[in-house]
Amino acid sequence: MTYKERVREKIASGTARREERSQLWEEITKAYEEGSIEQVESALTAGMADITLEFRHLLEKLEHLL
Amino acid sequence: MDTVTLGRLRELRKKYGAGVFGKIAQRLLALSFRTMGYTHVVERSVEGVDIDIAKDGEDKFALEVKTTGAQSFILDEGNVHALRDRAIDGYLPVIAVLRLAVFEKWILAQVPLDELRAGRMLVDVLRAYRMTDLEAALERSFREVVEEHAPGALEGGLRYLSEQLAKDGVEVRDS
Amino acid sequence: MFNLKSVRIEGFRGFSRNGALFEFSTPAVLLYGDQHQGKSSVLNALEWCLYGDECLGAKSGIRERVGGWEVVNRQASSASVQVVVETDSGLVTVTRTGGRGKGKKGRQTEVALADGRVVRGDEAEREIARMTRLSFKDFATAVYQHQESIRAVLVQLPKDRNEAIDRLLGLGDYRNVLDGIARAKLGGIQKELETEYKKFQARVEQALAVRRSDLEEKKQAALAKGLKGSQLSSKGALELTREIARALEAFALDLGVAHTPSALPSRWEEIATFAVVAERELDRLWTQAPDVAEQSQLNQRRIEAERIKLEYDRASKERAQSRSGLRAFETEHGKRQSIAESIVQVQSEVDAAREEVRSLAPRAELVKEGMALLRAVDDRGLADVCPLCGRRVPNLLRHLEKEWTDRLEAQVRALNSAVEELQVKKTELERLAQEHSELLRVVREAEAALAKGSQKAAKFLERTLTEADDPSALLTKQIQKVDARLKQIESALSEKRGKLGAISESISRAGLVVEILKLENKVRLIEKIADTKEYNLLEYVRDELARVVNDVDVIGTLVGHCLAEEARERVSTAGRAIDNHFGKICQNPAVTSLCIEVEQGTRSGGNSYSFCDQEGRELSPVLSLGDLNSLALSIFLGMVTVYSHPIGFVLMDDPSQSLGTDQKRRLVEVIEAVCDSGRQVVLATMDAEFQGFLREYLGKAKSVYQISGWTAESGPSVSVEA
Repeated sequence: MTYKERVREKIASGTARREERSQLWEEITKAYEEGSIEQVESALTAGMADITLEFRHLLEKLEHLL
Repeated sequence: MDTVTLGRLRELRKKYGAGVFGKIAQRLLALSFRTMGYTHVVERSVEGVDIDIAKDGEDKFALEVKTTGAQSFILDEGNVHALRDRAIDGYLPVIAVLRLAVFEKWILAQVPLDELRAGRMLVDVLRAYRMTDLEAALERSFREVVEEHAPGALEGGLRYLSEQLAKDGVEVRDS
Repeated sequence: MFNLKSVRIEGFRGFSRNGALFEFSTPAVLLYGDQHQGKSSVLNALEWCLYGDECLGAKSGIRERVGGWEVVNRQASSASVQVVVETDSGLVTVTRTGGRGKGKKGRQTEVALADGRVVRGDEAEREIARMTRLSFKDFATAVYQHQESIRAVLVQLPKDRNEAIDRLLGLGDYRNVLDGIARAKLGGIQKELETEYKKFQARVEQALAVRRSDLEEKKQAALAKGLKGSQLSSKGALELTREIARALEAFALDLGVAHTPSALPSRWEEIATFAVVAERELDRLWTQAPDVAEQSQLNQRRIEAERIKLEYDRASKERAQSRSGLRAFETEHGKRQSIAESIVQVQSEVDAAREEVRSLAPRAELVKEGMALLRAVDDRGLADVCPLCGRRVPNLLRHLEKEWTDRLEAQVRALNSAVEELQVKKTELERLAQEHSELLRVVREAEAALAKGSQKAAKFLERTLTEADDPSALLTKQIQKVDARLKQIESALSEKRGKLGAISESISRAGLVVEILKLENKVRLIEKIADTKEYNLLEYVRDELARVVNDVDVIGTLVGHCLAEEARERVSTAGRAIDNHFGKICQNPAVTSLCIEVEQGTRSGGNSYSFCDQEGRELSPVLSLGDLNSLALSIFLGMVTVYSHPIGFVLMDDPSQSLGTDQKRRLVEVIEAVCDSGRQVVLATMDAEFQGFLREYLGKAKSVYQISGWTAESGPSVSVEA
């Protein structure tokens, strides 16, 4: 069994958020196989970029209410 | 949590200190669940999970209760053990955390058993497991309970709250 | 299984265009040579031929391959490696060619199969994969022992050694994924954002505290101003505005001025505007009140009267002073007429004196000329000759000179002096005349000013004034009259002024209540931030953030679990072989058995390996570098036996790095055992002692290549030992 399959099985046997985590695992392994460690890092941080932007944007709006 | 409720809780914390305040918060929480219609509420100050709650026909929950003024709290091995033990009896493990700051409210996090780990945790990490509906109902109930019992607790401390729990039919295990 | 038959290398790494051929016809093929001669290039060539780009860069998992590991020799334009292997079906030839730089230009892969077919490109790659049945990572674990894999185990830091062993066990992918996850530092990002949120909370609390404090202050001020608690509300404020409106109406009536009522506010938010309008109306009423208007006018009139009186009095004083000055002058010097007469007198005296001088002048001139003439001819002795008649007159010149000196000169001098004196006198008299004119002018001007002042007073008083009237006194009387009237008005106005102040104060109190209500509103808004759409969205984003971070964290944990599980499996499967190899190579008398325990690391997620002896005692603190080298080799050789694959050879690069003499010798035995298992061993080393042991003790047929004399132009020189 490859590393991918092993981890996939572990995720599938977990109790929470199986679908989301499986999807995430596919993205991580795809990034890894396309570009190694740096690609994994980029893929994960890119995913956070939108959240970070939205977070700060909303926080700024709330600041104006003060 | 509204600023009035926050103010009352801070008053209690100031008077009794962080340690006792944690127990006070726990009892207020137990009273809140009782108000929400949980027929079976057990509150423990000793071994075992802090609160059990159950309602006919619905899920049963075992809660470890934490209060903090910081960004993190500690879940120790004993806490994890207690939750796992309770899980055997069909209680779903929940970590209930209250951070005393403006706009904060009780976070009720249903952490899967296989992901329960001891150690220092950021309060915000628990947001991944929030039981938002139960939290919303708890927020209303907790506000009312604090409004009703904060003056008594300020004067009589844990003894007062024990009496109230007993009156409300909450089983209290002190030993 | 397939074995190596030969490899031809051209333009690859250390090998120039000239190229070299290596035959693999024996169970062991030994490549000897010093550093930088090209030994490792032979092994790399085999690797590259079978795996191409997979063995380059970060993907390879080999650190030295990251960041520019050159494939093509610098003297060549392309690299070419041809490997012939013997498979169960026959000979297969794999040829890989690669050009410089990135991209597919100049690259080709060709496989000539045993059945005579030749395939190229992707199909060739597929054939190679079918033949090897091993990924590059597994190849690097179970077939090719790199120098780096031994070096990594020799390092002191447990963290680095553990990672090296994970990779030796072929678990590099898990490690790499864990590294990628760790580098992303999602937890750190979450913490950073949540810290920003906490700061926002702190600012909220501060904003509330400041506003509540202001609110309390203003409430106290309001109570001090006589407002009641019940008035500090929207209802109370609106009632105040109604009171103000009523007061303005009554005030207007009192003042006798028409009032313009403004619209009453229906919400407290409108009170500020109402207050501005009310204040303006109050000002207008006051300004237009008849008494106030009269007061203003009378004040103006008084100021005017005082100014005119001041002017008149000043003019009167100036006239008196100028007249007095003129009188004093005339007393001393006489009037204009007498001065003029004196001037005329003096002038005639001057004229007479000048006439006398003129009459003397011709004679004086004559005498002077005569003297000059005679002096001119004196040197010729003609000074006694009369210039007119020519007669000699003894001492003529002396006589003339005497006449001049004794009589003429003195007379003229006296007359000139008298003229001068008279001139001076005349000048003085002219000056006096001028002064008199000036004084007269000043007097006239003063009289004109006074007349003007009198006219102004007459105009102000609205009556004609004669010389019998005293305008200054009349103005004084007028001022007194105005003062009396002002006093009357002031008395009437003082009570109304009090009412004005009271209404103004009410407006100010209403303004204060509005400020209180604004602050209360602001406090409410801040407290209700948690009910806003933006806040709820932020809650959603925070939850999403936590879920993403948590999912990645859980996946990282699961990867760690799998890494540990698989490490245990591999260690379990290869454990005996590893123990055997270690025992054989190391032969540490204190260690009769080696066991490897695997723990999942808590921090990094990677495994933590501990090595114990037969009694379960931890060995790491007592293992020497040679022991660690033996351990690395044992793990590699152990994995060789674990992996099931058809590759019938093992590549070893400098395996004896830190081994002692005896360990080297024993390694030779182990290598022989590997050959005995049916695998070909291709081994590169620069270790002379180890070379000696291999020659002497490796009981398998071996081909020995000497690789030396490397130059940039021609690469290494390769020779086969007979």
